[in-house]
Amino acid sequence: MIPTANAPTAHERADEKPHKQKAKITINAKLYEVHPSPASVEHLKHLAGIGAGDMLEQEVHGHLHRLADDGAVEIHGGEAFVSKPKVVGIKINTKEYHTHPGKNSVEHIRHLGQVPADEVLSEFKNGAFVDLPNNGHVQIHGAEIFASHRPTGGSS
Amino acid sequence: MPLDPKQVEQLKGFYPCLSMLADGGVEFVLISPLMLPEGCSPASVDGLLCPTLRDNYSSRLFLSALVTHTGPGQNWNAAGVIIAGRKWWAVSWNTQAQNQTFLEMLLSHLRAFKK
Repeated sequence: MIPTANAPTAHERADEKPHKQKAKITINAKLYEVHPSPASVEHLKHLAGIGAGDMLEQEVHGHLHRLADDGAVEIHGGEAFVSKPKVVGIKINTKEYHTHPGKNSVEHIRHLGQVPADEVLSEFKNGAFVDLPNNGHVQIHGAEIFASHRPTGGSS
Repeated sequence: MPLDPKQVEQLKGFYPCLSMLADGGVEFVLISPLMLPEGCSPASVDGLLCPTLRDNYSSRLFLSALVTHTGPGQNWNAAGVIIAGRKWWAVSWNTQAQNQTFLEMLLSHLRAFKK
């Protein structure tokens, strides 16, 4: 069969099964009805119109648990989910921080790591320390390592 | 005196293969390989960080080869000195800082080779 523009998507079809009673869940405080079975995170994000740049978290006993985009979650009814912008982990002066993937300003990384104004921030890349200009940007994928130091030293 | 294990661990976060060397009762941190700043030739050597007072410097960074570079550290006042049975080279470089961590020391010494 040739799909038409109005044909339901695979996600929509999954929620059209008439033989199962739907379970009520909330995503970003908005009520949705889905079948009580494992639901892919991709499906839940699609249902709530959550973009690829955001991640989904499930609230369990007052705590938020991050869900992998390629994961799934068992739906019984009453589950609550919230979306947030995606973040990845980086290290600044050996401490772990979270930031958004993609282009980050050096100013933001410095602010995140509370790097003193008189210190130079370097990225440890391919085994070498590369100084970062304060007005520059870095591409963040996750697991990047930064270190700062006072640019002291001189030939004697 | 043994080197502060916390400081060594911090450096290991950057150089997992680092090891310790002792010579004449002095402990050194061997970083192998140590990538040098852009423009250095060779680009990679072994580095031997002496984080304690030596030759009137509060710390020193020895390299396993004489490096061609355009940075400010051009006075090679240690050439082929033998430490732990190996020849090492170092530029005259005073980090001019107190209470530096080993990582900060290393970063300060690497400035000698940066344009």
